[in-house]
Amino acid sequence: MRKRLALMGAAVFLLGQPAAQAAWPEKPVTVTVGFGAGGTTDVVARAVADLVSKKLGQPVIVENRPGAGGAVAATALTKLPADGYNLVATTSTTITLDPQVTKLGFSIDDFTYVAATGEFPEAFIALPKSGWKTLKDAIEASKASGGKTTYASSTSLDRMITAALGKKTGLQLVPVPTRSGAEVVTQVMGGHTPLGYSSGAYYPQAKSGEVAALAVLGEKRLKGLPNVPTLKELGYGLSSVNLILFVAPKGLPADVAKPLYAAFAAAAADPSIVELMEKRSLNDFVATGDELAKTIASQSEGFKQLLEVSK
Amino acid sequence: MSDLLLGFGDALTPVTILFVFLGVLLGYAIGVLPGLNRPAALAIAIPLSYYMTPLSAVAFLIGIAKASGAGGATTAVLINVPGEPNAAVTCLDGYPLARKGKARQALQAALYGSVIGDIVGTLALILLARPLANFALKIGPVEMTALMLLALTFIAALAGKSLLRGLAAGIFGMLVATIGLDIESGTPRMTFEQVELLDGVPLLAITVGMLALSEMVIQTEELFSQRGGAATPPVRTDASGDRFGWGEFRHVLPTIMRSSVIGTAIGIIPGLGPSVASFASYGIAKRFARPGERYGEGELKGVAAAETADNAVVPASFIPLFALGLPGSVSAAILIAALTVHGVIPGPRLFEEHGRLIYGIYGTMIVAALLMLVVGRVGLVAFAQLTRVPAAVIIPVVTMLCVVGAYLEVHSLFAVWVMIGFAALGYLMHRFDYSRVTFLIGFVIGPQFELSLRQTLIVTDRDPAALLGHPIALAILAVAALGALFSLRGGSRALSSGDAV
Amino acid sequence: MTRSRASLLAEMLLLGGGCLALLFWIIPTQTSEGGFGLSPAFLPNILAAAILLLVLADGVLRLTARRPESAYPAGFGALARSLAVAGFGAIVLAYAGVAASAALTPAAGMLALGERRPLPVLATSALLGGAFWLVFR
Repeated sequence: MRKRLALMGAAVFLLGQPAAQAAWPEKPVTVTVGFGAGGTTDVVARAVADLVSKKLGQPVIVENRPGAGGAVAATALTKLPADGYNLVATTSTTITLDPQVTKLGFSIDDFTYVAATGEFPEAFIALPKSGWKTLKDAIEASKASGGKTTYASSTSLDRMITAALGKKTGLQLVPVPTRSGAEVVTQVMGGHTPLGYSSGAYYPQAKSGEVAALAVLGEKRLKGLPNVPTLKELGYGLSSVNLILFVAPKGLPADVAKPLYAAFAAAAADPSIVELMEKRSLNDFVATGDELAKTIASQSEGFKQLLEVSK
Repeated sequence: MSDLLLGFGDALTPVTILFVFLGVLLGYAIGVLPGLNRPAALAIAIPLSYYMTPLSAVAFLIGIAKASGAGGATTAVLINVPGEPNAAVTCLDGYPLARKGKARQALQAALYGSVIGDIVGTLALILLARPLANFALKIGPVEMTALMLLALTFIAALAGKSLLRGLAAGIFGMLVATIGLDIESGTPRMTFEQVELLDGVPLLAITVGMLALSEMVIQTEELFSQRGGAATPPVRTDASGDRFGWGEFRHVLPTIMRSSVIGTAIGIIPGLGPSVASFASYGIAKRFARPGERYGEGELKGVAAAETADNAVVPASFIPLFALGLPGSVSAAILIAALTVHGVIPGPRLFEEHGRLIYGIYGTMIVAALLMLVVGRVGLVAFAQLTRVPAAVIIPVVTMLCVVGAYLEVHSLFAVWVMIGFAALGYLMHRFDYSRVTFLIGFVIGPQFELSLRQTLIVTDRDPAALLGHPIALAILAVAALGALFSLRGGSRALSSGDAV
Repeated sequence: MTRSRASLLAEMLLLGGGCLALLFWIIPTQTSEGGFGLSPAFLPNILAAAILLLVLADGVLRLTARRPESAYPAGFGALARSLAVAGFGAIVLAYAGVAASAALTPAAGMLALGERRPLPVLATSALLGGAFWLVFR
């Protein structure tokens, strides 16, 4: 990748004038996925990239650069030129939340927001034999028996949400750290923690009834689990939306941005992508360009307020 | 029943067998080459598998996952460089055997151990997946902490020349593993403001630097001193005693069977993994040593113990995946990815929904074991010739593989420089008798130990009395305490008889 | 040659000093309070302290044992050459890519080890460079 960078630098230097006159794109576009091969973000990014490549008439190369929840790829992107040939696929919280929690080399202003395709189905889960139907039952029961309970946690996002939830309900929710959503489900199924917060790994188990989903975190219910209420419906006034996000370095020229946004919008609306998202239990959420930038800004602001509340 | 027959039928079609074979070949090659290893290979192979049928894709990936473990022993025995981190323990007896002119014996013990371990793990998966997975679910934070303490007692068994220095190296490994984001609070620790360190020091950079490149420094040194006149006996080949016959097989078979069980048990429990299995299996084999068996100086059983357990882990780690839809290892997580790409979402109802596919996968796993035996047996003859290649060629080529391998894992030069730094450190540790193997154990076990300990403190609310509700954990702790006493006794003997143990 | 007491003492002081630096300087400046649960610095501190104890115990035992131990090997020529070759490989990788590094690093290594015959050097170089070019171009 550095090699390509070096060559690109040389080309810019030699030509003096970067390829501004020619119609973009005149060479392959690289999408760097901020997570490992085979994860949800990777699978969706590859499928979308495939369709975008057809629309643009240029190959789209997908590379993986996992690390620090997408932050490694995002940091690297800020050092690349905003020419439309370098994109990163990651989750929206990488940009809207992580810089507020950890010291990172980028902020929300360092990117051009290209497209969002799909929303993670985050949810609170428990064992069915607990008898709880919704999160409200769980909270009431735990409050009755001591005012304190543990839950299996895997991200700083869920720690923040539960801290705010604890403030609102008076129930202390102590996070038990785990490394992944799958470990959250394992801890819950083994009965080691009464509750868990999973961003999607629970879905097959919830479908088959091995675990019960008590509440989803998004603004609306999940298509695949229509009986599970949202946290807002339960009256807690909290929500968290995590999107699969494609970004470019900031300052993407308009003549590049326009065809790029159009290609992503068309790809995301393609039936094969819609079907893929359904299979991976993602909510369909498509936005591009300025509209997306607004969503991201409001998410970031929302997290900022949540952080204040949960302190 | 019809799913079973249809599934096994699918597994035996030429196309599927071809993909297993390709996977085994690729996996074996990755296993042999130091610097490239299993997770990296699987990650590279995943995008390829997007274009195959589900069964072919899984067959291909399973071939890679299984064979890379078996291939890792080759360079461990022949040039003292583990091809995979799990083969670090294989070096301890494999390389001394090679130096005694018994390279083929060591390689065959490793191969047969690998295949038998793999078959035992696979049979456990096919026959007992559901009950074993339910047992694995019972291993919670408290039990896991107890298991980690038990695993730490094996450091003493592998400490090398000096017990105290071996322990110090092991703890140093744990310390290096704390670099990165703290898992409980999400705050960075000792990352020196490097984004690349937020996930910790890259595993491959550590293992390749510590074990492979540092070994190349050591061998360069030996090469120079040979030229200077000080003769180190070179690896001998084709000695007349280098045969692996029925007698040798009977000698190692009890160890292989025990190690198969150990490896399978460790594989079932998410979070332990093949490295822990090989360390534990070797440590246990050493503890059961008969008089006259000198582990660390070329004991065939040592090679068999390490390699068998390491390979039993791979199929056993698929048990939580197929029974419950939960990945128990990196390889299993990658398999989930491959399946979901093809619209098969692993979950508790995998058998009802995709019975034919699952039996097909089971079939390919058995095919993979047999192909591993064939490829390994043929490869052995070819790789044994490696000992004829002069060191002046081996050393530079391995050096290059280390550099390129560290880069390919995360596509980052940072990892390469870290790898080179740890090579220097590993060389210095070797020179001053600080064991590199115990460092690796500490590094591998450290994060899981810390995580489980923190989880335990939370779920028990720091109340020691809560332990009484965890009989499994208490039993494990008792074994760990016995083991620690045992090695302390051995340790004080070792101290009183000097460092030449 | 036997190991000198001075070298044992130096080793103990150097490693012990490293542990103290970790405990009182590096770990405090490189961690922050997590806010809840076990402090992030908890385990690093315990481990650094444990290493300190082991290093001291090891040093004292060796110093008091008065048993002659063979000297450590001397000289850093092999280390310097090996690291130089690996570093060269990394730099080539940065500027010219994987295949170039796969071709040039072994050649550099063979030259560093004293292999001067052109045929083996060039053949190894071409073979590996070609193989990596095919796979990773």
